[in-house]
Formats: sequence, structure tokens, C-alpha cells
Amino acid sequence: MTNNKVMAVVVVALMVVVGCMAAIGLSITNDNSDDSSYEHRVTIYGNANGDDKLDEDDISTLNTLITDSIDDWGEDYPFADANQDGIITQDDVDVVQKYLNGESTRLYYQNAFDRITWVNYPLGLKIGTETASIEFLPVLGLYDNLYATDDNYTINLYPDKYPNAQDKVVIGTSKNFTVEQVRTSGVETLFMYPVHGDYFWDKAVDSGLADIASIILLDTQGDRAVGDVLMLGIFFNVQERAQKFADWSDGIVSELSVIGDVIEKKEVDVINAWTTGFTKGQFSVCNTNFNPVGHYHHILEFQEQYRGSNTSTVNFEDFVNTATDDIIVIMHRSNSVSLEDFDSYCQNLTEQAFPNTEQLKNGTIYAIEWDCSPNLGGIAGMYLLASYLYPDNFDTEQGYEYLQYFLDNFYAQTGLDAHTGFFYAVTPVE
Amino acid sequence: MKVMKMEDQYEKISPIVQKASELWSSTCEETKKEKAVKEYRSSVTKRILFIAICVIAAFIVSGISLGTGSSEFGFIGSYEILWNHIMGIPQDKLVDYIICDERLPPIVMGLVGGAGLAMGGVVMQGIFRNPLADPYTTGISSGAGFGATLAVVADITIIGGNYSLVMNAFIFALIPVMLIIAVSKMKGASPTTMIMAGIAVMYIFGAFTTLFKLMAEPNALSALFIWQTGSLGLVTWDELPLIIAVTVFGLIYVQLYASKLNVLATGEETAKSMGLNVEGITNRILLIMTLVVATIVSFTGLIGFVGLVSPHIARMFVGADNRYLLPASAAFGGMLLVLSDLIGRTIISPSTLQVGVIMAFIGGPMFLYLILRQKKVTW
Repeated sequence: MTNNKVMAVVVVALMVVVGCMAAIGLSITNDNSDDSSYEHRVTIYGNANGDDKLDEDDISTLNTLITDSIDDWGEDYPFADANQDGIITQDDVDVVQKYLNGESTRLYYQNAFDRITWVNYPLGLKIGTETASIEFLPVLGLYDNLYATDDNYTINLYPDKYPNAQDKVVIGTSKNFTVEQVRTSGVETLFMYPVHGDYFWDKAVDSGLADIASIILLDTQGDRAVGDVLMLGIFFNVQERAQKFADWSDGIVSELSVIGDVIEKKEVDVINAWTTGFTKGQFSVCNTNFNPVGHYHHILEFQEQYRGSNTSTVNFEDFVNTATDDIIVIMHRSNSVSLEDFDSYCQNLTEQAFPNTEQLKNGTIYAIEWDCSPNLGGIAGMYLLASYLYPDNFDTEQGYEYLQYFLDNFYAQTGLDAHTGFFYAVTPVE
Repeated sequence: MKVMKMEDQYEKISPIVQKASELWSSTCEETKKEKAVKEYRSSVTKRILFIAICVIAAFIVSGISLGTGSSEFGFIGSYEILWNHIMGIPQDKLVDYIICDERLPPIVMGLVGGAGLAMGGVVMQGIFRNPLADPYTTGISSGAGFGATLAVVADITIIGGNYSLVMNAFIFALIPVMLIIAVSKMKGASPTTMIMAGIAVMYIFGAFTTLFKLMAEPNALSALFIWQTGSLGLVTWDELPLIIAVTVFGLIYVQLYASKLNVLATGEETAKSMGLNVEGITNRILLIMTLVVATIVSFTGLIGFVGLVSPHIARMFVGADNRYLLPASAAFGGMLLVLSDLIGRTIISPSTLQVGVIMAFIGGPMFLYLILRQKKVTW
């Protein structure tokens, strides 16, 4: 070979090596899967005692801090500084008192990115949402206040699930809102979705938009969503309803807590079924950091190779050779499939996806709809799954009851039956 | 043996050579000389006129873009808001932000980025003597993109500090340049081979980027997606001074070498015979262009076709003389990118289409048309 050919080969080899090293580095740095718990659920500043409320008790705590001149309050009362001036004074008491009186004040809180941001209390009720955050509205009983949405296709694709949402003002493209779009939409309170990043807050502050509208970054998936519901309950003065949701969720979490404590946690693979490769031998296997599996740590462990970043694409052969005895498939029911046809839809898809596998023969494949998997109803879905993974400890019918309670109380679409269209355990196929 | 008559031979010579021979022949009449000089001056005027039209068009398109959005401020109104901002005249904070911080940075980025990428296209088409060469097809954009992705998604940077992103992009953009230079030195390497090498590099970097997509966290994945489709909206005022400084420096530097690029375009051997340090000049210009392209790409993402289409269109009006082609392409490229961004912002408003998508929609057919129409062999 000539020198030039050698040089060309070296350059390409260099690219490959650097790329691989970077990829390995990335896979290491991305693993933050163990951070699934947090100490305070209601991260509003002024919530001095760290409970789930903003009330007279917080004023008492603040007064104690002031009268006792406790300087090192930061560690024991991290959310005491209501006005974010770095010291605890009567001004902090005044902020909480104004909130309790229903007077205008700025409420600081930690958003889903743990950044200190604020809302302008009382919050305007022309509410705009990025699609995923729309889920909070029926939970809080505020669905009628939905004023604007993004241009995400799911709203139009599922008109039954989001009644009347198609007729609302469109703010702009999700993940890419501009100050101008939000301002001209007329939205007074905007719910944003952390998977899209905290891209908007700084713009809102710099432009002054944050002073006239409340921009709230919320996590709809996983445990943190419960804290967000409680915070919204405080912001919108619908604490009772928010607490009702939290109690429902806490009750299920408490029941599931025996898994890992008393019962050994199973290793189970979880797969996305809404990828094009699902029925063609290319599985998108969920990893621990994948947002939509935020609830799953309550009931299962992910296999070693699926701990860490986003998702892994695995071909049929490799997947089957290492798959766990049970497989969970997260379904996105197409709008062309009715709730009644959900079971046969799941049966057909899984038969296509897992032909001749032990799991299909044994009937240990469980299809769960998106709504009771990652989103706010997800914890009910976890109970349903637990009843199949640990049949001696959990009752399937109880799981359906939990789900029914969610659908009846916290869901936009009405008249639904939990038994139809949300969960399906695949019928064994010889 | 049949001897061709003098008249027949004369007819076969190209009109330019005819004109030159007439001009310099001792029998040439004074009036013919004057006519030729006049024609030359006229063509120079036309070239300058085209550049001026592009600059004015860029100004007008920028004004329309500045005034267009879900809040209508109008052409004059938006410039008025801008003027008030510059002069420190108090005005509505939100309106000020929308015009000066939200709408203006993408426009400036479009002008600067379009100019830089178009200039990159001119230089690469000239140096590689290949009509298909541009920062995208040579893999330079992909290399820069991969370097930027490493910095953004994996936080892996070659140097630390404020300029780590740009330096990452620059260093990785050098890889395809090195590869293309190496390929170009190979015996029998044709211009097509060089482009094929560039495309190969593009695919390799594409594969790594896909790998990153599979492993990236959702937030990073989302950012990566927007970046890959190419967008002018990612840039802020904090970053623009660096981008402007590097691009303007590159423009001036390459413009100073425009005459030498003309000589280079005639072929390596000819250029060497005329005493040109071909390797030295080529390497320096490529290095500068790579820095310009890497800087732009690291802030806008991958935007194709600007570097390909702009030089071809400009060449139709100003010819292949790099002294005019460089500024003409730069002005046209800037205008084209701002126009594409404006279309992307308004065509399905309030939703937005990324400028990279619009550029591909405009650039693809335009380029096909140019390929089918173009018969010249000089680039």
C-alpha cells in the first residue's frame, strides 16, 4: 500500500476507535438508575416542615426558626426560605400567610430539574400544556380549564381520551415553544414536560414572561409525579383532590413494598411495543433510565444489561436467548383499535413478535397499556402486573379495582371499564 | 491527406480565444479593443450588481423575517423596535425580548451561517474541482456534528473551557478533511472518489450518532434530534460573537486568496507551473474553512444544500471567478438560509419546521435542476 492509502486507513481506524471509546464512556456516564427516591415530595419554598401541605403549621415552624434564631436551618428545613433571600425572617412568614389568605405572591418551588423557579399565585386558569402534562388536569379536576396544547399528534390521534382537546389553541411545536408563541396564545399557566428539557424557563425569566404567566415543569411519569400532583394541588387550591390521588397512589405503593422486603424481586424484561421493529424481530428493550418505566422499580429488577441509559435495540435471537421467564410489553393502543379489541390486538401482536418462545407457550407475556404503565395511573398497572408476577401475594381483581378507581376519579375520558382495554395476559400458544 | 483550411480551423477555436487573438493580434483594431474592455467592465458591473442585489435581498428577507410571527410587528415596526433597543429607548420588555432575543439571533445566525457554508462550498468545489463538493458531502459537517454531539450528549471534550464545543467540532471535522486529502493524493483518484470518501465518512459518523441515540438519555436524545435536523433557533447572543468573528475572519482570509483559488481551479500541475505553493495554500484554506464550518455546524446542527446550491446559483450570474463568486455565494447563502428559516416558521404556524428540513425541500429540487441544466465543466 502507498503511504496515502495507509493514511486513509489510519484515519478511518482512528474514527472508529474514538467513536467506540466515546460510546463506552457515554454508557458509563449515563448510568444514574439508582436515583429513584427523594426526601421531600412537596418542594415548595415555605413548606418549612417538609410535609405535603402549605399551611399554618409551616408558619409555626417558621416562627420557631425566627424566635429561636436558628441559623443552620438549611439542612433540617431546606424548604423554609419562602422568598428565597437566603435568610429566615418575617418576610417568609408573610409569603405563606399571603398564600393562605389568597393574596398575590410569588411561590418559589423546585421544578423537575431541581431548579428553583416560581409561580405567580393565584395562578391563572387558562392552562396550556405540553401533551404529556395534560394528564395532570383530570387528576386535579381542572380538565375544563385546558386552554391550549402543543401540536403533538397524540391529542388528535386519541380524541376519545382527550375530549375537546383538539379544539383548543395550539401554542406551537412541543419541545420548541418560544416566548412569543406562549405570549400570543394567551396562556396564563403552562405545564411543561421534563423529557423535553428545561429549555424554556430561562427565556421566560429573561423576557419577563415568568412574571405574568406561571411556567411549571412537571414529571408525569414515575414516583415524582405524586409530589407534582400535591404541589399543583397547593398552587391551584385543590389540595383535597390532590391528596385523594396521593392517598390512592401511596396505598398501592405501600402494598407493593413487600416486594423486595418480604418477597424476592424478580428480574423481568420490559419492551416497548410501539416501535416498528416489534413484530419484525427488533425489540426495543427498556432500560432503567427510560422515563416511561419510572414505576417499575416497585415490582421488578431489570437485568444487568438493561440497567442504565435509555433503551437497547436487541434482535430476536439475542433477546430470546437471554430473556427473563416473564416479559412485560408496554402497548400503545392504536386509535383504530377499540378498547374491546385490545385483548385480541395484544394477542396477535405478541404471537407475531414472540413465535415459538417459552414465554408464549407458558403465557408469561403481559401487555399493559401506556395509560396504566408510565403515566399517572401507572401504579395501578404495577399492581396488576404484580398479581401475575407474584400470584400468591397479589390479587388481580384488586388491581382492577385500583385501576377502576383511577379511571373513575382521575381520568378525562368517562364511562370506562378497567377490565377492557388496559391490561392483557397473553393466552398460552403451543 | 486532407489539410484543413485556415478558415475551418479558426471556426473551431472557441469565441473567447478568437476574441483574445483578435485583441492581441497586431492587426486588431482600436475599436475592437475598446469594445472588449467595455464588455469586461459591463460583466464586472453585472457581477457587482448581483452581489448588491443579494445583499439587499438578504436585508429585505431579514426585515420580513424579523416582522413575521404570531405577533405581527410589521417590517418597519420590527426595525423600529430593534432601533429602540440599540438606542436604549425604553419599550415593552416582552416585545423587546421577542424581537431582539428570540427572532433576531436566528436571523443573524442564518446570515452568517449561510454565508460561511456557501463560502465553504465555493472553496471545496474549487480546490477539489468537483461540483458536488460542499461541507456536507465531504463529511466535514458530519465530523463537526459528531464532535459537537460528543460534547453535548456525553460531555466528552478534547479541551475544556468555553470553547470546548467548537474545538470538539473542529477537531472531528479535520478527520474527513485529512481523509479526503489522503484520497486525493492517491494515484488515479478522481473527484468522484473524493466525494465517495466524504460520503463514506458521513455514514461512519452517522452510525456513531445513531449509537449515541440508542444510549442517550431522553433529554439528550431530544436535543440531539433537534440538532440533527438543523435549526437556527439554537443559538443565543452569547454565542454569536464567536461565530461571527470566525466566519468573518474566514471570509476575509479566503477572499484574499481568491485569485490564487482561480489558479488552483485550472489544475494542480498548471498552478505549480505558475509558481504556486499548491499544497501550502490548499492546506491553509481547507484548515480555515474547516474551522468556519465546524463553528457554524456546532451551533446550528446539520444543514445541507446551502453550501452546494448557493455557489452553483451564484456561478450562473457571476461566473467562476472566485473574486466575485465568493462574496456572491456568501450573500446568496445568507439570504437563502434566512428565507428557509422564515418559511419554516410560517408555513405550518404555530408549529415550526426546522430550517434543515426546508433547506432540503428547496435545495434538493433546485440542485437536481442545476445538475440537469449545467453543461459547464469549470468549477
